[in-house]
Amino acid sequence: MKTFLRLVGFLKPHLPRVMLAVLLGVATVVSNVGLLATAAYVISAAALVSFLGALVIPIYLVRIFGVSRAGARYAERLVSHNLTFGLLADFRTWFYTRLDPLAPARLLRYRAGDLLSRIVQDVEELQNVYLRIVAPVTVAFVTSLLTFVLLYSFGPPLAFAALGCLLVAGIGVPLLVKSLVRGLGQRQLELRGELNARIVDGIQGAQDLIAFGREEDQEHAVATLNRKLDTLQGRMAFITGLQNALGDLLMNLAMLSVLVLAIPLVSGGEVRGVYLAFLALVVLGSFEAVQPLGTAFQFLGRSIGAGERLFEIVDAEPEVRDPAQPLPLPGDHKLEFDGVCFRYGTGDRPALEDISFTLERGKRVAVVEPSGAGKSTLVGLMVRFWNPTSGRIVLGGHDVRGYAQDDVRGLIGVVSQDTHVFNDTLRANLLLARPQATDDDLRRALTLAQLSGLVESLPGGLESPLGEQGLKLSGGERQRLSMARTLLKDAPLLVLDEPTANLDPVTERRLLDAVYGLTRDRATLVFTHRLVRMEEMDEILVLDAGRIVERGTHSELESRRGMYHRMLDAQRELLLAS
Amino acid sequence: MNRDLIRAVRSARVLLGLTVALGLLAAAATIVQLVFLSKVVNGVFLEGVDLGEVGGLLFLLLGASLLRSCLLWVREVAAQWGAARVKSELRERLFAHVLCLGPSYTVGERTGELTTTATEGVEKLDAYVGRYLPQTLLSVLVPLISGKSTLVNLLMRFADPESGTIRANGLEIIDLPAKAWRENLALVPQRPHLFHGSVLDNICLARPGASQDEVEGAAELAGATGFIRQLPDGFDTQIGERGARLSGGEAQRIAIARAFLKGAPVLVMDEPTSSLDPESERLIRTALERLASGRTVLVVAHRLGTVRRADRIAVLDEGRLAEMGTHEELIQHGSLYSSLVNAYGRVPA
Repeated sequence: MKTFLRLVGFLKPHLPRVMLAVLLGVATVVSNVGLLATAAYVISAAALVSFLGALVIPIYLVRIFGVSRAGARYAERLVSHNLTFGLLADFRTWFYTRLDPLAPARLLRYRAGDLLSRIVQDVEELQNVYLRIVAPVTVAFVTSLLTFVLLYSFGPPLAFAALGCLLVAGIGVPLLVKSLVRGLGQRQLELRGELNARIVDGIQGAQDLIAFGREEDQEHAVATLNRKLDTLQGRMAFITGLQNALGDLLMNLAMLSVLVLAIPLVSGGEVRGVYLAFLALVVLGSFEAVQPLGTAFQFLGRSIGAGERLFEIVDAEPEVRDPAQPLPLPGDHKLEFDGVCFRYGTGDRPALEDISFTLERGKRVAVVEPSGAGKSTLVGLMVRFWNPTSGRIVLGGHDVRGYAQDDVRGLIGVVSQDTHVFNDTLRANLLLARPQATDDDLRRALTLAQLSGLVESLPGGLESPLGEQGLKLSGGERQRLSMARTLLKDAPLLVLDEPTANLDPVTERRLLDAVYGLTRDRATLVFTHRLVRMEEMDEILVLDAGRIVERGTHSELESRRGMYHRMLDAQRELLLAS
Repeated sequence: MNRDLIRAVRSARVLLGLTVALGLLAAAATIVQLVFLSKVVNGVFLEGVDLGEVGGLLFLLLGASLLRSCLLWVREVAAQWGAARVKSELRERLFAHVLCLGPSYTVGERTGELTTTATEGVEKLDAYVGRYLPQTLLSVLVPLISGKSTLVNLLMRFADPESGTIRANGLEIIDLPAKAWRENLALVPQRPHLFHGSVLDNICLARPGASQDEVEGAAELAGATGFIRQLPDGFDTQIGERGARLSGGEAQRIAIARAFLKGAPVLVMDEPTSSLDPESERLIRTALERLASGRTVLVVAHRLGTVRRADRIAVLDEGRLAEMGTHEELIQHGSLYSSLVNAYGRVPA
């Protein structure tokens, strides 16, 4: 309920339009009732009077209701859809502005599975709060009340009979159907999930299935689940089909009861006979208003579910906040980790423990870690996705918490394996890093990143489209694109994440030559577990389970016969075994 | 409307026809209702009869209403059955078709789009579905294959060569049914897929009838027993998205265990490009050596260690065979291969 009220709260700035749309909705139903009822009256009355002139006003009313019904329906759709799009835009902006400071620390948890796409669907779902819940319920309420008042003037029993049927049709039947379908609906969701998982599994694993000749098994499994789902949906159809049928039956019962109650009144002379057909059709017409309530109940559950999921994300506290008055960036970009510890959750094992090192201009530090587990945490801390659990990260003599997050990120260029290639031209993909870069800058960066060969081979040069609708880059090319972007960004602190993992040895050597040539006046942090050209590092940190187990230069570590030495041995064995 | 969609609808035509027929009957019932209603109104209003005298008509009206509601109910049930039938049929056909197109079509960036189509797409019965149905095998495959993995695809008959032939013991493999040919091959792909299910199920993919002992034996040979024993339920541990996640090296060893279990005479291996941790690398290397003995092996290699042990090394450059020979021959030859080896040689020793 709280969630629902909070969702309805979004309607507040649109109140005038909401009222207008509801008013038009009521007008539509009233026109329908009016059309049926006045038509019935005109036909009845025509049987009595021989002179049609006496019926001019009712006949005009029939015409007006006929036109106003169509007009009101059209205007109502126009206003309410316009309103819905406005609301949806509000929801999206609201959600995004609340999401932005949370990213990516909080969102990392949602990366698993399809949660991100579910967020998108949930936001879409919220448009139903107005369109399918608030508006129809209000319209149903108002028109039921109007019907009640109208019938009451002819006789209270008529009014109560009609209202009773309206209530049962609008609230009783949907609740009945909901309770009948509950177990089946749950089972259906599970079955559909299982079926979809099977299909996804089969498509993703097609290579393994086909290689082992097992495609029939998977098809058979899908077919079996499909049958089960079919049977279940067949059973559900009996119940959901009941909703319309019962609504229809109640409408007719309401008309019948009004007839049964009205006939004695007519016979007794309390109500004029011309009104008999009028009353019957008023009741029939008023049921138009309660018909959408069945779906309103379904949407209520879904919208509240969607709302709860979104509120849960949005209500989370951002991990990192900018200080009220951020310090200006220092001229000196020396970055120090001072006894940094980090855990993702309070109960979790520390991801990093007691990490201290200094990164300064002209220096290269390598982090070597067999599992690679602490890497993303360390980079995340540098670019301020998180704050350390304890210890300090110091930039130019001040704790990084004192600076604005964006300022710190601007100083750091990260070359990583999983860089995102946007569905745009090569030029646009590069300009991302520095929008004002000239063509010469772009070409220089591409050459340094060993990508000039690729550009020359492309028919459109810099204008060639990349990504989904263009050239698909290989892993190695992606990585070099990331390198080119970072070179363009020209950041004083460079982070290289396995910079050569997907490259052949010749390209690897050229790329490292180019990059290391550039790092003389920058500070460089290299993550790798390929121990190549480590003698060019000023310091090597060997990490295991989040702790620094060894540190020193290549030659120091090599002679120490510890973990680093073992890794070197293993590597040498792989490369030179015969 | 899309032709394929119409074809899919055909299977449910009895149900859809029933829906229409019942709708017409319900409309007829409405007319009957209105006739009775007008008779009631007429009797009371013009002829001045009382409630008792129109009672019979009112009961008929009630009967017609009940009949109409029942018709609407059955109609709704038939309509929903028809929709479910169409959807499930499309789902099965789409899935079978995707598997028939083969991995060269499904692997890579398209996987996401395909899975969405087969799940949500079918739910929405979008015309989108039609886009994937009519394409032929060849037109899809040819432009997509490139690079080293092409060799593997051709050998596995995921694709057939545009020209030229592949022979096995003098027999052109294109003359064999693809499925029968694949029974002779065991594939260890670059990134093996682990299915929802237990570790045991995943290894059994290679031979569903295998006994527990055979599976454990294969896992042992693949050097996988160590990490499997450490999983919470050993061989019965559930893996995949909703279960335990395995590292790249562990998944590789599951794939090698599959190959052991299958026991096919030809082994096709696409080595992973990204480096694994040294311990995994070592275990995988010894497992592969065991697996290779007594078999014909094709390795798409990224590691010099693997390459050196090969009987014959084929060096590809831009899709063409540049050189072929043993390690020593190629070193003496002194061209592309030796320059690659020299580059590796710069690793500090």
